[in-house]
Amino acid sequence: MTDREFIESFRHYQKKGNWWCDFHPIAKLVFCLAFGFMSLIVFKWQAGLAIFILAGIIAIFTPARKTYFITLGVMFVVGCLFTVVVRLYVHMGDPGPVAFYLFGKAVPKAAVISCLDLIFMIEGFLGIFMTFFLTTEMRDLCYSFEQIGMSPSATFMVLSTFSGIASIKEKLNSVRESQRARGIETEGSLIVKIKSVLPVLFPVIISSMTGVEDRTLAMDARAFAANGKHTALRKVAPAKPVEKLIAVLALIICVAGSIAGRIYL
Amino acid sequence: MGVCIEFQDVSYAYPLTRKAAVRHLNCQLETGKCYGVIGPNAGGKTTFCNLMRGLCPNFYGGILKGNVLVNGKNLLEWEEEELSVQIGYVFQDPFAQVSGIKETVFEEIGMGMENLGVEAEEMIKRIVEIAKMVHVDTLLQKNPLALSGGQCQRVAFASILALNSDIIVIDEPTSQLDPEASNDVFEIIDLLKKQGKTVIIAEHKVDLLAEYCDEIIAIADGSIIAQGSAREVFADPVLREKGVRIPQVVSLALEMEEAGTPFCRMPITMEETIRMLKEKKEGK
Repeated sequence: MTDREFIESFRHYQKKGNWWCDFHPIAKLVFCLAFGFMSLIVFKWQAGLAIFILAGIIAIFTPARKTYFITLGVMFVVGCLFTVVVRLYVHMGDPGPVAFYLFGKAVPKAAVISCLDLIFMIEGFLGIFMTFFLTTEMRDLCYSFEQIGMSPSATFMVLSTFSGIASIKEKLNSVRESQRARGIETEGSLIVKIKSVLPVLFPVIISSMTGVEDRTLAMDARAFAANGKHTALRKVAPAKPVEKLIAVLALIICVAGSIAGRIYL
Repeated sequence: MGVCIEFQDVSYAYPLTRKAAVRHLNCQLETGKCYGVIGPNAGGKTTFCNLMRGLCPNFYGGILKGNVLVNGKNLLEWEEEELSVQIGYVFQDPFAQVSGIKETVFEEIGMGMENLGVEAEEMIKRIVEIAKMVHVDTLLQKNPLALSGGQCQRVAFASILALNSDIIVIDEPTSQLDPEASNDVFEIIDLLKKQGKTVIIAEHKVDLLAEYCDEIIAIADGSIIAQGSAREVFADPVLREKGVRIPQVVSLALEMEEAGTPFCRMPITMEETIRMLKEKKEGK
């Protein structure tokens, strides 16, 4: 984008040219919260799988599809498989109908179903929230909240928390670079990486906290405490009726689905 | 010219300290002038700046005696938000001034105006103007946290200029910058002077201050030891007694005076010194 186009973009509503990315942030949040909590409340593999598939379908049609599937895949392998192995190991040999035999021991059907419930609850919950976080700019979400009455201080807290996490990550990387320059091993297996990060993690977090005073002064210098209405450079399009309708439908499905799921599944 | 800031017998001590950081400060700063604040480390320069901006005692706490008047009104009577618009403050560390919540330089510069409720179209216009003025117009799409020290300091200047304050206090803006970036900062200060802003700059680079400032205020051990035009102040022997750095050309002139070949008057800039040396050589 040229500088002229970039400046011009602030004269119009921010658009990314993708239906889901351009979905109104609050309507999108309501939609994702509804399905995310439905996955938690029902806690059955059928509901989790349905939400997981829904999240996947949404993600396919967004530019974040690659990141979505890679991240979810890693989470699945690391998190869910570990849970499955532990659960199956714990329940091996339990009484009840047998699903299959593992290392000569019976694995009951109940344990397998319980594993599936857990896996798809997690995948459904994470999946739907990832479709939100990977496609929504926090600044746009905060601005939308400001438009409906949230205070600028609260939005600043949200945004600075997110940027604080990014800054800790950046500082950790710089410290690791410095360590590497001093001949300390920072690359290699996961254990080597953890070993190189752990000793500096606490000091880095503390040093980030000491930056709070600087940040406060910087905000004061920008008249953050000024009375009156704050305005915004970025314009977020108001929610369309169809977006509002989708959010309301998601809420209805969440309530109805949760009740039905708890009763019938 | 009217007085915009006045110190009336001001003493200030930070919390949990017995010794006052500054003592019995008396001075008047006139509207539209550029003031250089010099002095050794821990001499009271930053406290002097913080007092003008109201950070002492409003932010840091501590005990303030005497009166600081900003545009004729006592510092303690100003609302903090009003003061932040009246007096722009550029801090020492360029990266500490980045809000951290804006993803582009363009939005970072506009942040102060957003807080003041300026309409979007007006903001865009002012950001573009200021970005050109401080030469950050090629960085507008960059993340403020990914800039070099010099670029970041320029963005910090732009962010404060966007507020259109009449008084601008700058605390050691070049302490983390290379010579080229330092010169850039002083070019911006020169632009501010031309716009009629009152600029107060605490700085160690006395050669640059001598070139750009209308008046110099020397502070050592928490007290003002000299105030006046650059020529008067840098020639004052009290600066050498207190270990305050003076421009190289002033040192040269003083040494020449000791050697029995004085200049007709004290030079304070390199160009002036070269010209006077040429005149001396030609026997004028």
